[in-house]
Amino acid sequence: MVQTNGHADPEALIRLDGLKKHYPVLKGIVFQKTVGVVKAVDGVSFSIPEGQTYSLVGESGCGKTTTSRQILMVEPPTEGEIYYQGTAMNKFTSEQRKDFHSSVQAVFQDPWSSLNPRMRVDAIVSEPLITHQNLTKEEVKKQVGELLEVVGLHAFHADRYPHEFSGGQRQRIAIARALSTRPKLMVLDEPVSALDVSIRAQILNLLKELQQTYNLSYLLIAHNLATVRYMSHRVGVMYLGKIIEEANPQDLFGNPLHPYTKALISASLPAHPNLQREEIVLTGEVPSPLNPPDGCTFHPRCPVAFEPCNTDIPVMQEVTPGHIVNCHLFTGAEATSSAAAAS
Amino acid sequence: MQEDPVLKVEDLRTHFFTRSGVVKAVDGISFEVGRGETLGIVGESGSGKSMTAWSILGLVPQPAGKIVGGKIMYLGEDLLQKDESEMREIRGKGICMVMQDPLTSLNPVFTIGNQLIESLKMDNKDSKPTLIQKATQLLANVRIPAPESRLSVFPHQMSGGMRQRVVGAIAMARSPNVLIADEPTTSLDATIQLQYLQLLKEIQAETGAAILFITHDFGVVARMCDRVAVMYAGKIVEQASVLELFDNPQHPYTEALLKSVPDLNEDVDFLPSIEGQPPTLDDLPEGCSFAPRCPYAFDKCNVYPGESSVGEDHVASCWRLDGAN
Amino acid sequence: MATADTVLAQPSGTSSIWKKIQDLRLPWFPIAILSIIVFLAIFAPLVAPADPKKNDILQRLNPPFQTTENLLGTDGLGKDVLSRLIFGARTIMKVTLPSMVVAILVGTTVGLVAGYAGKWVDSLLMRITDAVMGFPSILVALLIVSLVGTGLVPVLIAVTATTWARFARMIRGEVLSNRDRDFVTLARISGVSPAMIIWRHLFPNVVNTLMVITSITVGQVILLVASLSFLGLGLKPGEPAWGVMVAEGRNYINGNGWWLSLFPGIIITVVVMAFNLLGDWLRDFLDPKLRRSR
Repeated sequence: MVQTNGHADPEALIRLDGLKKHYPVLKGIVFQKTVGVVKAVDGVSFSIPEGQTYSLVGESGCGKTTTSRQILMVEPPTEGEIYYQGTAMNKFTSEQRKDFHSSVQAVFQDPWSSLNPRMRVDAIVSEPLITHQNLTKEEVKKQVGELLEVVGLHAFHADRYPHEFSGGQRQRIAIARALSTRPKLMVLDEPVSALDVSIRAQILNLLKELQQTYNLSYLLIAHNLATVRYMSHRVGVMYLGKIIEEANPQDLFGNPLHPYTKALISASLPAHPNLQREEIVLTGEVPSPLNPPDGCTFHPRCPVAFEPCNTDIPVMQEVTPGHIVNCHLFTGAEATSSAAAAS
Repeated sequence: MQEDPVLKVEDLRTHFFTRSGVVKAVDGISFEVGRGETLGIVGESGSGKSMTAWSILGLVPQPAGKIVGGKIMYLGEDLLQKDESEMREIRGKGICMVMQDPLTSLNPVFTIGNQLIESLKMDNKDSKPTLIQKATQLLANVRIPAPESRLSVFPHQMSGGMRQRVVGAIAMARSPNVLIADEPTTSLDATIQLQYLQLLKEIQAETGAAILFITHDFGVVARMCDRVAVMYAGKIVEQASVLELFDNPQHPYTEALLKSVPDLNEDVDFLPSIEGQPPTLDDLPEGCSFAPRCPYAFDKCNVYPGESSVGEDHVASCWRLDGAN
Repeated sequence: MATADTVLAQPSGTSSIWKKIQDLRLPWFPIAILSIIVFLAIFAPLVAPADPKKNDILQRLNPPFQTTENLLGTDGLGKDVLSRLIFGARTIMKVTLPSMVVAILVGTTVGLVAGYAGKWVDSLLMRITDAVMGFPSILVALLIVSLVGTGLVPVLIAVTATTWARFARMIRGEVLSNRDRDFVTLARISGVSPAMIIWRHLFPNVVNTLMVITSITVGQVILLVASLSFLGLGLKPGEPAWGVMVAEGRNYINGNGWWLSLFPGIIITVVVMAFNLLGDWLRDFLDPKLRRSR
């Protein structure tokens, strides 16, 4: 089987290569000593092409949010590179850095804390715009009005305050703000989890339309697998700071390879009472990234762990075109028989 | 002959009297749950599902809130006729509740063991060593590994999933007849949620408790519930067995809600959504509260429809079901 | 395109000016009190019945409400209490207010910068703040007076120097709790400069705390000026200042001069309360949630 280290497509809008983010654990009050390392992100590589959605799924502590914060330049990586339009981000000139900030925006999970309660909607929506461009008041007002209409609100909402809106509407305001600088990439961190069920479809549909209209790329972080399937072109499953499987949604959900992916899918509750899935219940808790297990970090909870799993770290393999997985079941001699069993 | 339901709510009304008017948080709902049965109450914000739970426990926030009508029959007796000391007897022993956030359900300054024993002490006059043993057993019942060592642990030292199980243990400590679960798994990871729900089912099988499961997640409903009541703006708009609800939803809200949830096993280009947003309870329209968002609304909808029986054990409130339009 | 229902109807037309003023629900009591104080400060020589510094031993310790000449009585050296109260308003304007304003400006800036910048900047600024807070104000005043001499300006400096620190500390605390809120992170992601983030996002959200601390501090500053003057470190003896009057009156509380501490005490209380109420109103006024919709 062919070894790959992620889809290092140099043409992609955003490309991550071996990204690591380690947080030192310090002890002591005056003189601090490093007693451990939290490997929140431990070697992540993937790429997002223009106009497409790449989703990161995984449970709490897997590192998906930390990865997104690296991409947004909120924190610098410990190791590895992130390339934006072919240029390494840590080599940005200040011009490029400024341009980056207007090209990459974000929408977060909580519509209540995403908007400054003391700012009017027009100020909120136009802030990225006025930071990057010199426009007259009339031009700003016009653009704000258009943005609000595009996200399904009305121009006269501009002089209201956030608390006058419902959760779904606030999320629309957040999206309007993110769109204001005509970005190329939007990081969507659980964009609908905090919204009522009947509103979620509205917002997801809006995001899909916007993607088509403006050729936007999305990095979607979500725990709801059905949402991920609806929105994504490509999905990466993370566990303890690493991507353990990556494929397009049809292949990933139709033919999951990694035992963790299978467990995750089975944990997704059924869409109908008669569709009870075979439930793979993992034993134990999600281990802390402070003290990850040796070898394959998933092995203590893995229902099919075998000999190399507790000592050797598996390498990414491309099992079928476009479907890569990080698991000993697919390395070496095991690979052929497992691949046959999986199909 | 079916035995009597453990909990039977009849035409419950809980209203809030505020400066801007009366908010009818719960406006005439009726349902029942039997031994060993799980009834799901599905709704979104403002539907009144949580307030229903508080009303049953007699913990409606006062002075603004008041139960203004109806009956809550628990084991044949009307809870609304009981005074506070009688309700205190029932709370925690007969009817128990677990809530969404285990961090706020547990007292951060007391150990797990301490809180379990406090709960046990209410029914048991046992000596300390016996109580400790019982507490350990309770933790083992909720599948917490090495339970003896967990008694001296503080809530913040445990993971979310464990905490939720401890809350469950405390709730089950007194073998309640009714367990009200208000979105207990919303903040848990998927794999942990599954463990927890399975655990809940096992406990129910062992103790025969009736479970009232409040949720907004149809996946949970499909997994856990025998019967379902769908709430909207303070009223139950449809009630049926779980299979009936999924296969044959009659109320436009239920139908639209089910269709708007994406499916893990299918690819669709477009997700049908419901227009507008859930109503604010102080500004309800005349007549059917769902009408402003309903694709089938017509002129009759400005009067609230009565309940129509749609099949065996399946009722819904919609004018479309009331004979010819 | 999916449309969302409108939450509120379209804004209505303009209403009359009077209605707008009514809507503001101005706090009339504090405004009245503070206007009176300002008025007295400006027009003191015209309003006061007597010279506040003129001693008249023969008239000492006259009780209040006996004559129209000394409506509120006289003090231990025969000075007219009412006139001193009126001129005391000037001291407030000359000393208390300016030192408060400077303390607020300095303290808030330090707090905002320390809270947002974090790391060594925060550590450095907070060590300085802690050091200043650790010194009793009297000592600081002594230090300043020994460098600059006595008088109004040193008192001003001394008061400012000891008061700014508490603002810095509390504002920094507020900034820390607001700094990781999503909308701040989103502003950073959008490339907004730190100065703008502090100004647009952090400052408006710490204003509440600022109001509260200011209200609490006004009374303390008045008394601080009094203690400093009492020790001879500030105003010359005989200068009319409410705090000084309270302090001077303490010898006479139990008997032949009960009114000497009482009246200035009352006026201090009323002024502090006025600031409190004004602060409350301002806090509500700035809170978008509490504004009536237009």
